[in-house]
Amino acid sequence: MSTIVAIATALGAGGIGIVRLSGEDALQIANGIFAVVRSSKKEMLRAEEVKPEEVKPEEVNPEGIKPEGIKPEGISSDDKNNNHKNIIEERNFCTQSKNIEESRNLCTQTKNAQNFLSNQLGQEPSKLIFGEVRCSEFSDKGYAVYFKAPNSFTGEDVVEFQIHGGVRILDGIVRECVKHGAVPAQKGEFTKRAFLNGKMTLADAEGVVDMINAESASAVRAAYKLMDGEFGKQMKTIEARLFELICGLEASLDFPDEMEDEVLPQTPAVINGIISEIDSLIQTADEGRIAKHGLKIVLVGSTNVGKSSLMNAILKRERAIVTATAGTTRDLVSESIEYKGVKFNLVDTAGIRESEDEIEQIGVKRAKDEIKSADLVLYVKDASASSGNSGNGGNSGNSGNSTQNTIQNAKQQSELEKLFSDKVVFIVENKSDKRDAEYGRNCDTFKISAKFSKGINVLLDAIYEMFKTGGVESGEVVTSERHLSALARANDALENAINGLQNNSTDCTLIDLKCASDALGEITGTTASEEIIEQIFSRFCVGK
Amino acid sequence: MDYDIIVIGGGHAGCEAALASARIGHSTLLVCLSYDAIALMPCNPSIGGTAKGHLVREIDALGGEMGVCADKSLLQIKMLNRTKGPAVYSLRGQADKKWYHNNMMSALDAESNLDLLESEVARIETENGKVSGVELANGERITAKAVVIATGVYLNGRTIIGEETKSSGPSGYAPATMLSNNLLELGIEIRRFKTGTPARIYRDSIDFSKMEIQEGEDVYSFSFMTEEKLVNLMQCYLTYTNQTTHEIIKSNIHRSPLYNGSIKGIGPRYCPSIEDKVMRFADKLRHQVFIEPEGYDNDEVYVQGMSSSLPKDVQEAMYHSISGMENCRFAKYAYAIEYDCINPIELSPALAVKKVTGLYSAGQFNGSSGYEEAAAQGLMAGINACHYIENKPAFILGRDKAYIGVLIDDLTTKGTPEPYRMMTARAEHRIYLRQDNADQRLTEDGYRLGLVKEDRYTRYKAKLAQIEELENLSHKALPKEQTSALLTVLKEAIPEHPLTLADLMRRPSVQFEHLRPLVDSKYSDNVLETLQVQIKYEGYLKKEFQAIHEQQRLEGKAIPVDLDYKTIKGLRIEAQQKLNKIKPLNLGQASRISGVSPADIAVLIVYLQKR
Repeated sequence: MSTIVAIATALGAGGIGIVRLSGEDALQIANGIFAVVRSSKKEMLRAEEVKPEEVKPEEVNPEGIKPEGIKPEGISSDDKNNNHKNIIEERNFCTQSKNIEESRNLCTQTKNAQNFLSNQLGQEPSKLIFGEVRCSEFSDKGYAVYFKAPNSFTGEDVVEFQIHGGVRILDGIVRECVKHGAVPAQKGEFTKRAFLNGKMTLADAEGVVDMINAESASAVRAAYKLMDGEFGKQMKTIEARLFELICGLEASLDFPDEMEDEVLPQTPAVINGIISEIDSLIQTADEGRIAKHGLKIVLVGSTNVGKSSLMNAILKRERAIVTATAGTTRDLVSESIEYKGVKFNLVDTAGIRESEDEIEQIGVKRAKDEIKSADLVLYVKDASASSGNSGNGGNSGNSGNSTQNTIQNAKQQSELEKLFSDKVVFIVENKSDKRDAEYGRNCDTFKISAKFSKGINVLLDAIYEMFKTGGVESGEVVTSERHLSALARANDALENAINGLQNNSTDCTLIDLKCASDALGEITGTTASEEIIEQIFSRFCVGK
Repeated sequence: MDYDIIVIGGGHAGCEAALASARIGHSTLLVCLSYDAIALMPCNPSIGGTAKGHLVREIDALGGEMGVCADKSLLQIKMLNRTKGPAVYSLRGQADKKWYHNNMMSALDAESNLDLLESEVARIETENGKVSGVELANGERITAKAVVIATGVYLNGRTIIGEETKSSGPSGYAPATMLSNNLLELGIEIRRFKTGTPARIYRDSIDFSKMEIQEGEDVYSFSFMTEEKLVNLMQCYLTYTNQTTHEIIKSNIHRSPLYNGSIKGIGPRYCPSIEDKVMRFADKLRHQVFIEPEGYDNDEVYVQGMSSSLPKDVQEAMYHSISGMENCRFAKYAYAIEYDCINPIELSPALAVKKVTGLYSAGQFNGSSGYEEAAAQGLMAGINACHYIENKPAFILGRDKAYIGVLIDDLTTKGTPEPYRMMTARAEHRIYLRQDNADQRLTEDGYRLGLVKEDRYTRYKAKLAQIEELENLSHKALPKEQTSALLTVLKEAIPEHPLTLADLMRRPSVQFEHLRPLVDSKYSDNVLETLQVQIKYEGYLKKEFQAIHEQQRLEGKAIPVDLDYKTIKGLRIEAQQKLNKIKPLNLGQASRISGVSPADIAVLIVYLQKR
């Protein structure tokens, strides 16, 4: 059986989700992308520094989850912990515990034993293990749990990731699993496997029927909507060309006398044509994800350049706390707005600077992580600072003399810029009111004043324009991980078909072509097998 | 009981059913309208072809008669699709129709458990919904525990040539007119299908010098038991229609009963009449016409590609317009034939009529077409009638096991809107269901069933041992001078390291004939070919086995036959109706029913779990 993967929690809701892998390679795939983080002595000590009186060493996960009570007041958007708690309770993994701290405590009781374990999942089945998911585009802390066959929902080896973040992160994990050999699960496939392995209980069965029917109805609606657009048109064209080729080759096999090799000579050219069309669809995948989930915009910069002020100015309300003290924002602040119909997901980050403060360090690290998955970076600078390219404003420094400061700032700045060297970046010169009170755009540099809401709309329009010219608006986009995986598999199969042509085995070529056709069918919802025979007779004059 | 099993009909299905029943050990009666029409080939004089050749090999591997009988009757044989991959290599042989009839008669005569009777069956007798025997046209009753219907195109047969129609079976034999009404009384749905055959022309009236010669090939025969390669005795010929032919057809199309509506039966698309081809594919400048001998000393030839139901004067005009046939004389005119048949979704996958216990059916009566399709079903219906009597579970071949399985599953699960023809495109596991490994797939079953006798089984075991032996050898290095010589011939680079037979087999440029000199002649062509396919296509075969394995998990989940799907909450109405009609045996079969969606299957899964 292939190993399947899917997001197991409802999409869109909440900041925590579960990605489930099931099949004989589940563990191997999971270990390919998940590294177990074992608490070392040093980390425990660091944790003790944070909250020595309240947090016992073995409960602390040094960077992943912040203990309650240390968030700056007013920052309430980050309700991940609550979600996590709910999920844990729902899933009832470890215990009936009512809060996450307790449950985590129970899960990691065997801390001492863990010190001797490797950083691979699998040694402790049915236990939540803390660690880091490492994907090519981002990494994130979270939990993984390994259920050893047959003691799992499906009766197969199962690994579930419980991870922060919304659809983008979860999609990313699914994609990473697919890269490591998993196949995106079909609707109801986990349930089907559970049944086939004799794992479904009466309790599971109740209500599953309704869910299946609702899901299949919604899948039909979704497919209909998808196929109605420009993307659907392109898919249909590709599918039709592939289908025509398959029919021609099939006809030549079953009616060798009549077909007289009409089709074979054109085969390589047709296949190559289809491959390049699919390639261009795959290339639009990133824009596709943007279209679905919005554009992720991360505000970065040194401390006290006015990132939070800019955030508030865009949101038109006091969302983030703004003070004159450098390093006010220590954690991420996320908020979304809709601008001209496009969703902007804004993330305000802690100002980047060297700090002794443990909390601030964590905040800085998070800011760096956010940059990795950003679609657009707003690099905020203080225009009022000398020469206009320095980040640190006059109010920031409270240590050492100004020369030292400048050298340090320059160093920090170049390090900061390295972080987003491969990203689309807009430079935002804030506090322009303090300089020459001129606002507007010059290439990718924007002069604004967050305080007086000057130049904000120019910036937003520019973001919107960039988004639009990215090819997103036309709708010819790949919209989900399943689709992307299906397209990639279709192309792999087509490549195999090309490579196999030299063997003079039309029968094998057709296996590859049908594999490609099945993969495309997962997107379009068509199944070709029945129609092939119909088409052979309507397209070709065969039979005697 | 007079007999254990009665088979109605002596065509290709009836013969295999009767032989299977008798060979398994049951007293069997074969009732047919005329002894002369036993194993008649009323249409083309050939056996096999794409996918059909696979069926013949499978029938043979199970211990059926068709392959053996064909080999004794062949005039020419060739392997089709030589350049298109091992899954679609297909044997096709030209048979002498009279020899085929005679050879089959000898096979029937050789069975001590089997009696023949020349008569017409008027009724199927039943007691409490179970078959108890038959009543003949003269009122005589014969008792039996099971009956196999294999009436071909004889039930209420009606032939059509242009404006002339008459009640008739094929080739002028009398039709069967009584059984249809009885079947309707038994609650069986009867449909009307149609097929056709081209004219027969006197050989001496054709100018073969104007045609292309079609030679036979030096290949093995159908049956595993035929040791010698066949000597090709006769040639076929190829000629073409032309614009004049097409003009004649177009200007007379209003006289075609297919076009003016006087034929109501549903004809097969893969056997289009020449008028169909000309009208539907108007841009085609010519169509192929194959001239095939009806027999070694028969003065008639079969004109393949020119089937028609146009009036005789039009037929003459169009045949005469073809190169080489300008002065041809007609022995028999082309005709269409309509006949009664069952809707095969009334059958279980064991080919049992679901409404009447102990009643089985096979062949064209089941909505198929072709000698090979008929024979395959006859064999299976015969076996399952035996198992019914013996209270054994039905013998059902999966789609992953044999073309026979695909054929019967398609018929009984999906039904068919036209006479069903086997095609390789219908077999999803085609790369595994090859003609070279039919014995490996089925002979063990045939032996267990009692159809494969010791001589065949011993020979089969020896072949398996040889394959294994050669496979072991294939991983040993070959002498370098041998492999280098071959690679030089193929203009390929010669590697430093020594090569094995398996290495060579994997190379695209290396063909079967290149390997033959490298391998001891004690390993037959068939052994070498099978191993070569196994090694060369290892990757594809591995993938196929995975797919088969996944599918088998659904096939393995049985569904009670008495399930009332109307009571299952969550199934859509259409699915409920279809499932109640088909009564699938397992989830795999259920998933193939048209109108049953994956969501319905999921609902069914949940329901079964709850039970």
